[in-house]
Parts: sequence; C-alpha cells; structure tokens
Amino acid sequence: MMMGGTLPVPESFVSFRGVTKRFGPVVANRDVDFDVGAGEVLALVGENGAGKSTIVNLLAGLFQPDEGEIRVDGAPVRFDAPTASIAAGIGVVHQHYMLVPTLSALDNIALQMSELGIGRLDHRALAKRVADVEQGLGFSFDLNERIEGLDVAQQQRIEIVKAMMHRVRLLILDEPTAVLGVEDREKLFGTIRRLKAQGTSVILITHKLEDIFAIADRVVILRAGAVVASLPAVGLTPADIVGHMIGNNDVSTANAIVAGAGKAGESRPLGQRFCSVRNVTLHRPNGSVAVAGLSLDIHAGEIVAVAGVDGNGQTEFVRCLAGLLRPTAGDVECGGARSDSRAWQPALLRRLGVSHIPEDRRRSGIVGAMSLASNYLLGHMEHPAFVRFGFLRRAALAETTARRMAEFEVRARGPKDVMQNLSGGNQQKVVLARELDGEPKLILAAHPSRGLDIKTIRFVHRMLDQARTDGKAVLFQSSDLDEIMELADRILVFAGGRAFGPVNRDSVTREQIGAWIAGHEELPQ
Amino acid sequence: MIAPYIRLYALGAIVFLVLLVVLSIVLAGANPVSLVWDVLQRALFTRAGLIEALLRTIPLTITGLGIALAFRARVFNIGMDGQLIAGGVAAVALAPLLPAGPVGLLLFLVAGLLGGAFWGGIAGEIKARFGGNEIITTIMLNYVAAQILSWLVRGPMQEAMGIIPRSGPIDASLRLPVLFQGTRIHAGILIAAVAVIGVTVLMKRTRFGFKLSVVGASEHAAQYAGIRPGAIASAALALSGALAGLAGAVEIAGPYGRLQEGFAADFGIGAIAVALLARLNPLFVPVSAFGFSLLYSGLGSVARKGMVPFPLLNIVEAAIILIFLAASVVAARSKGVEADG
Amino acid sequence: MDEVLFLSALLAAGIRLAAPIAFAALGESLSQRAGVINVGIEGIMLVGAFVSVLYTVQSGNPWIGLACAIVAGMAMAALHAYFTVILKVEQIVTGIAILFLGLGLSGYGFRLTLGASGAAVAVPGFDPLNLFGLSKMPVLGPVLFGHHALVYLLVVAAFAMAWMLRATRLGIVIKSVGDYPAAAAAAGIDVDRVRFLCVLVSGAFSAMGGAFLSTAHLWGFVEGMTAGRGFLAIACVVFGRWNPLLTIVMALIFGIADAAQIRLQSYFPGIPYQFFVIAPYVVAIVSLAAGSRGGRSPPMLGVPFVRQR
Repeated sequence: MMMGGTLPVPESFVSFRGVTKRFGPVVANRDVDFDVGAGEVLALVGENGAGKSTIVNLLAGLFQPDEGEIRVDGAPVRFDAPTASIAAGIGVVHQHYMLVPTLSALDNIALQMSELGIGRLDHRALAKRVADVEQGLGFSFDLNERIEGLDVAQQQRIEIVKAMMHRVRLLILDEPTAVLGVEDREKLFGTIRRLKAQGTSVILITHKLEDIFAIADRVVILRAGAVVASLPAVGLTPADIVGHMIGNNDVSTANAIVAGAGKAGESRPLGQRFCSVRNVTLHRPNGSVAVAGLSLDIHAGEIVAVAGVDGNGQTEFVRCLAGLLRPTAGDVECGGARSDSRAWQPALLRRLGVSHIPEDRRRSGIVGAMSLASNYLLGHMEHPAFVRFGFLRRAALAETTARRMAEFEVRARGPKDVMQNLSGGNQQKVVLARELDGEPKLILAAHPSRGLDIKTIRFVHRMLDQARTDGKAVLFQSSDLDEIMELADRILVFAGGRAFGPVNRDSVTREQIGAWIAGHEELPQ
Repeated sequence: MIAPYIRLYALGAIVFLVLLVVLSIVLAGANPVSLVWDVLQRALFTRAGLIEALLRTIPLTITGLGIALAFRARVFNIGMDGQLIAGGVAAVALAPLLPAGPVGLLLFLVAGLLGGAFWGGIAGEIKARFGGNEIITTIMLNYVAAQILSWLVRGPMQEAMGIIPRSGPIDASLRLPVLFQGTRIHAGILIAAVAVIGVTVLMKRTRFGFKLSVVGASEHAAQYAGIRPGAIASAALALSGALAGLAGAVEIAGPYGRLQEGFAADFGIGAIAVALLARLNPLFVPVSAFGFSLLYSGLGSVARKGMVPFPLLNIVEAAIILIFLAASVVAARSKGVEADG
Repeated sequence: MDEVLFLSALLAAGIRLAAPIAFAALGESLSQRAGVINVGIEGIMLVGAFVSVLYTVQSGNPWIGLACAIVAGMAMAALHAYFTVILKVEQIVTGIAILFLGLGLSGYGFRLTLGASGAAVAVPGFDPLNLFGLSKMPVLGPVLFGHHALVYLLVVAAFAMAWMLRATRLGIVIKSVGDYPAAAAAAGIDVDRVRFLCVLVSGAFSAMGGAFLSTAHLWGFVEGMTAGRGFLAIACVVFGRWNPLLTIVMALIFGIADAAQIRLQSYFPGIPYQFFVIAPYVVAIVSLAAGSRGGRSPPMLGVPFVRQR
C-alpha cells in the first residue's frame, strides 16, 4: 500500500517483490515490496516487531523468503547462505555484533576473510588493507586492542570495516544508532555520507526519527510486517512518519509533540517507599558504563515503567534491583537491605519480597527440562505451603500449580507437563503466576509481553494492574509505548546512557516519550 | 531443531560400539554368543558367582547412589575411591574406642560416613571457595588417599605382627552379621537398602534434592531463583563422599574385617557406570549395580578360566555408557526453535 | 658444586618425568582452546603406551611403535569427538567412557599379546640422545643435551603450537571457535569441523605421551602405568591458562616435584616415603585452589555448538 508520491527510482540495485516470510504462526514479513537504488540511503522504519530484522536476515542470506523474490540488478537471486549474499556485494552490520570479545579488531577482521587461508597471517599487510578501508570511511582505531575493551561505538566501526573489506555495493546497518551517543551518531552519519559519495547504497534500519532526517534519501515504513509507505525523505515531517508508524492518521494528534521538558506533573498519593536508588552507576560486563547518576524511589501500589530502547542501561538496572548486580557507585536500598553489603544476592532479595520476571526467560527464568510444578516451585522454595521441614509438599504444589494454570489459562497437559513443551506465551504465563504469587512487595518485570500474542498481553497487563491494586510495587521494562502509557503511573526514560524521571504518566504524551526514546529530543536534566 | 540425520549418526554409533565389543571378544579367540551365555550362567546360576555378585552389589549400590546424587547437580565426583578409603580409615581408627555391639557398629558406620564426607568436602570447599574444578581435585585426592592408606597399614595402624601391610582386625562385635547361613551375605545389604530409600527421598522429596536438580539443569535459572550453585556443589561433594565412606566402612565391617591396601578397589570409579546406566535415578541404582556386579562376577570367572582377559569389563562399561548417550540422542524430542523477528 | 650437580640431575630427571604429562597437556590445551574437554586422556595415554610397546616389539623399531600409537590415539579421540562434537552429548560423561575404554583396551590387548606369557618381553625402546656429543658435559649436559628425541620434539611442538595460535589465521579460527563460536559461524567457519580436528590432534599428543612413558622413559608396559598423569595433564592446562608454553612449564613443575620426591626420600629416611609420593598431587590441588580464580577458561568450553536457525 503506497501513500504519498513516489519518486521514480533510477536503477534499483536490490529489490524485494512480494516477499513473505513466516515463522510458525507469526507472519514476520507480509508481501513486502521495496527498492534500493545505487548510492541511495534508504531508511527502513517501524516499531519493534514490525518486521525490519527479518528483512535484514533475508538480505544477509540467513534464511529464504517463503513467497516472493529478491532481485539484484533486476535479476531474481536466492541467497542460500551468508556467503552468497556477501558475493552479491551485500554487507551487514547486525544489531548484535558478531565479534569475538577476546580477540583484537584485526583478528576479528581476519577471521572473516577466508581468502587469507590458514597459514601465517601477514599482520602488517592486512593492517594496511584495513587502514585503506578505514581511511575511506574516515575512521581510525587501534587494531590490536581486544574487542572487549572497546566501547560499542568503536565495535560498530570495526563491524562496518569488517563488512567493507569485501566489495560492498549495499551496506545494511541494523539499528546502528540504538546505543550511540550524539557525537558518535554524527560520526556515523558522516561515514554514511562518504559511502554514498562512493556509490554504495545503504539501508538504515531504525525506529528513530532523527536518523531519517539526518541522512536518509527515502523512507520505507513498516507496520505489522507490511510496507505502509514508501516516500522520499524530502518534505516529510516527523508527524507524517510517526503517524504511519503508529497507525494514527490524525495528523493533528501526531503534531502534538511537546517541545521542551515535560511538566513535573501533579503529585499523586504514593504508598510506602520500598526501594530507594541514590545516584547509582552501573557497569556492563564488558566494563563500559551502562547508566550513571540514576536516582528514584519505588513505592507500594504503583507501577513504574522503565522506558527506552535496549542497551541504555535498563537491563543492568533491573538486574541490580534483583540482586544480580552491584552498583559501582551510589547506593540502592530495598526493604531494608543495602547494595553495598555482600549479602546483596538474589536469595536475599527474594526473601525480602522482590520477584523477578527475567528478560531471557529460556536461560534464566525457567528450567525447560523440568515440570510446570517444579518451575512454579522455583519462586517459592521457602514457602511453608510447599515445603515443610525441608520436605516438599508435592500434593499442595501440584494443586496450586494446576489451579494457577487454569486461572491463567495456560495450555498444557497438567502440572506435570514439561516446561519446554509449552509455547513461549504459555511459559511466560507460568513465570508470571510464579512471580505474582507469594505476596511479593516488588515485582520486577523485564519485557513481560515480549513475544506474546495479544490476548496474553492483555492478560499480563491485567495481572500487573491487579498487583498494583493489591498494594504491590511494580517495575517493568519495556520498549512498547502503548504498554507503557496504558500501565504506568510513573515513567523512567532511559536514552543515550542517561535516565530521566520518573515523570507522572499524566503529564506526558505518548509522542513525547517516543521522541525522548528515539533521541529526537534530548532528555531534560 | 535436532537435525534428523543426527539420530542416524547416533544409531550408527550404537552399531559401532556393539561391533567393537564383539570384535574384541573374537580377537581373543572366543565366541561372543557363547561368552555372553557363559558369563550369565556363571554369575547367575552358580552359587559362588551369585554370592560374589550380591556381595559386590552392596558397596556398589551405596557408591552408585553417591554418584547419582552428585552427577544430578552436574558435580563430577570422580574421587569416590579416595573417599571410600577415607571412610574406612576413619572407621577403623575409631574402632578401638567404640563400645561393643550394635551401638558400636552404628558408630563405626557413622565414622565412615564422616570420614568420607570430610574427604569429599575438601574438594567441595575448593570448588565453592576458589572455583577449582572438582574433577581434578577429587582424582588427585584419590591418589593422596591411596598413599596415606599405604603408609597407615605399614606404620601406625599396622597389625601387631608387623609383617603384612594391613591393620589389625576390628572387634568381632563390630562386624556385620551374616544374614544367610553358609553364604557370606551380610547385613550390609540392609544398609544398602536403607541408603537407597534415604537417597531417593532426599533427591525426590526434599527441597535440597530439588535444588540439586535445578543446579544441574540450569545454573542460570538456579541463580535467578536464589540458589547458590557453589554451596550446592560443595554439599553434593560432601554427601557423595559420605556415601563412599559409608561403603568403605560397610566393606570393612562386612567381608574384610580390617584395613588393607586395595580393599574395596574400584567401587568408586565403577559406580560411575552404574549410576549413568541407572540414568541417575536412585531407585534404579541397585538394579544397575546388580547388573554390573553380575558382569564382574561372571566375567571374572570366565577370565580365570583363561577364555577372555578380564579388562573386557572396562570395554563393556565404556560401551554401555556411550550407547546410553547415543540412545538419548536417538530418543530426544525435537525442540522447536522460536523465531526471531 | 654438589648442590649444583644435584640440581642439574634433578632438572634432567624432572624433564624426563614431565614429558608424558607435557605431551598430553599440550594436546589437551589445543582441544580445550577449541571448546572441547576430554577428561579421558588418561585412557588414550594408556592405549598409546600399550600400542607403542606392541608394535615396537613386533617391528623392532620404536618409531614404528610411536606411529602406531599416534594412529590409535587419534582413533580414540575420533570416538570422543564423534560423541561430543557431532552428537553433541555431555563432554564430561563421554570423557569418562573414553577413560574406561582406554583402561580396558590397553589391559585387554596387553593380556592377549605381550602379557600372555607372563615373562618379561624385551622392548627395543628409544635411547637417549647425545646431542652434539655434549650430554656428558657437567651440569648442563644432562639437562640440555641428553634427552630422548621425543623430548626435543615436544619442545619444538610446543613452540610451534604457540606460534600457530599467535601468528596464523588458523590460530584465530581455533580461538574464535572456543571463545565465541557464533561469530566464527557468522564468518563462515565450520565450527564442528575445527573442533573435531583439534580433538584428533589432542588424541595424537596424548598417545605420544603414553608412548614416551613405555618406550623411552621405561621400556615396557604395565597395566595402569600412567598412574593419573592424564589428570595431572588437565591440571596443567588449567594452570597454564590454555597457553601451550605455560602448560608445558606447569608439566615441568610437576615433573620436578616428582623427581624431587624420589630423591628427598633418601634424605629424610625418617619420613614415610608415601608422603613424598603424594607431593605432585598435593601441588596440583593447592595450585588449583590458588590458580582457579582470575584465570579465564575458553568461554564456550564444554558447550556444544548448535546453529541457530
């Protein structure tokens, strides 16, 4: 469905015609058409889950379309493996970098270049070749430093150089600005301009408005797996784009972007304080700073949303509150325990009433090989209803699990069914039931609705709302604006390595939050 | 998704392993079919063979339980031979101080438990506190224990005569009574039964057993749930060590009556095959232990007759373990992979 | 001067005792660097020890015995790799099976062949070399110039492996496969194939270690003659931080400890010899406790690589 006018595209280098891709019941891409011309910068835009990454992976040769075809220079092609895509001149910089952290940049680049063989590596010759590519892009970095010691912007540059070591006619950048600060973003755009001048096409996958206006020639907007608009960037306003992205064609609503800081908002009677965070700095495992100077209080009977694109420190913040991470500066105090003590561990925080619905459910939230009842028990091992004198009360556990499963409408064969047999949505429901039970005082939920169908999402929201009514504190991490606006009392915004807020939900608009998250506006102090 | 051809590869591996065993037997000049029959016949249908198998089943069950418990938490205790020795030494060392009769016997066994727990606990502490790999530490401790035993039975604990490297006999009242007249089958079989029940209950019915399973299945999920993997590993090493020590004490209170070098050899390492065959399920351990004991007894008899060298036992043990691993691949359910959008 | 001579003899003996451990450790460090652990190298060493003796006796040439041992070691390693890399089952359990298999095959084979008669068999093993004719030189002679050919081979191999890891693209490939196989796969590398080959090489080295024990250091096979050296080798890999040169230095430390305890026994006749025998093992335990912190194992050690689809 095309809206607005379309410029005649000169010769398109790569095109999609009617491409559809399904993963089980989910349609990730639906009848997608678009073209990329030589030397053109195309922004591929849409909210989370709109289907952008699938297009990247199709172009990278990681899988093939179910319907439709991909064309290169007008002729249909099939990328059966990444090597085919590379041979066609397509380079990809993925959102999650494929760099070996313990090796140097030069080694990582060498790894990819199979034409170098397996013998002695002429470091100097390779370094020279890399330097040539670097220069063409306007970079320079220490090739011999280990990846794990570099920050994400530098790692990204290495990934770009790595991609450009082969002859590249189309460079795809997947969410490149998600974790960059303003200065690094500018540098990236400069690089893209250079590439354009050299005749290389660029596809920029993003959901940030600022990227589009800074650099794109054309914009293709995706919503729910389908192309809803393909427009030249010239003459577009942010409202146009936001309107297409969120599906709201009412331009005036979209125009209500508040320029400047949100109001502090009316105060709302807050329950008893459970957690206080004071000037906290958190580091990532690779040593870089995830967030600094974070301060807030969390009270009973409220829902605080942690909003933002992944990678801005939210994950570290939630892990810190769960007892898995200690702050490198500042202080957290929850339910009487302090983060500077050695006892700051998940066991302690659970005992104090902190529940945790983890981000990576499969790895940390469940034990796939064990039963539903056992997975439920994971959150209640100290509860007298299920354990007496160290012995498990299996009948009570089975009964409670069965009851909760029914209430949550979990589709499974019974409490003895094995967790890994359940769908992702049903697994999440079990985790939810576990973490909401037992009278927790604070519920930490990292992306609780991720990967779930609409009905289950509504259910999750109802449960969190109920928890608030019951006087519990809820902190949930999300990048879904609808969810945030619907559930939250207060919103804490993470962007560009900083956190702002919490602001009262009533004193900001959806568009304002979106603008902050997208980096379209700087966070107020 | 488990690629379909991997199941085929696993089947191929099973065929290969069976052929390997058959070929080994043929190379010795024996007929595989008649050998199997001979082994079975000597083990099951001769009095001597059956008794020997039953006697071996007792300590093998107890140590097998220890392995099942430890491996369940993915704690690879390869040091049960050393822990068994430690238990035996502790029990015999304390024996002169113990009262006569059943109370003394009970304390004798408890001393064995504690000695083994101590020896296992060393490796446990090293793992919990320093992250030291338990496979290496437990094996090293095996050799240390063997040497300490060697010294003790030639030195401080040697029998009065001072010629043979062994300790003096323990008091007759501390011996496990023979249950069936004319056989050597002793009350240790009851202790083994109690151990089976105890470990089964521990692993399946208690919170600790639950934590063991979680740590073995997913260290991450365990951590997020508030379980401390290091503490669980340390406890697993101490508990399995205790079981090994108990086996050592039982062997001394039962058949041996004294401490000597090489007593109760290989019940530690042999228990690994037993537990793996029982799929780490404590209820199946005695069955598996009996099966391996039959194999040991029958094969031993056959080897004494010169038909086939005894180390075939190790080859068969290895084949059994590998066949079980391959079979689990053949039987594995395909796990669907979630799509990334 | 006495002390110097003592130390020189100690060092020379230490090298000799360290060699079997060092061989196995060198091979295992490569395998672990690629992400596969084999706790059964003790079994492969025993097979190497037996096969080398068998074919040395049959052919009269220890080099042929060595070659056959290498083939046998690679076969056992191939079995380990088949299960861990292709079938992707638990590496530790597979290693235990390899241990049993090695114990069984070596003992079985021995009793069927050389051990059948019960009489000692003459084994024309390796003689120590006399490099440049200097092995009789005081102090340095025995230490530097009087070892078996295999020892010098070992040192060359260690340097070669270190160079390979540092300076070639193959080294980068191997390191990436062990550290972050997803990136290696994204770069087009067949992770499983690299792992399989590294395990094969490790089997060859373990077998060489066993062969050294039975045809160079001693001339003959005794069942179970490796006495835990295979496990000491794994300890060396951990202490050596998966670096080939450091690993054989660690093996040397064990060798010297072993040589020392033999000598110290006569210096302290009051102390039971068993306490000296346990010295290397205690050294291993203490070092493991002290050295496990901080050292970083290859991140994907023990984890089978499953391609995400």
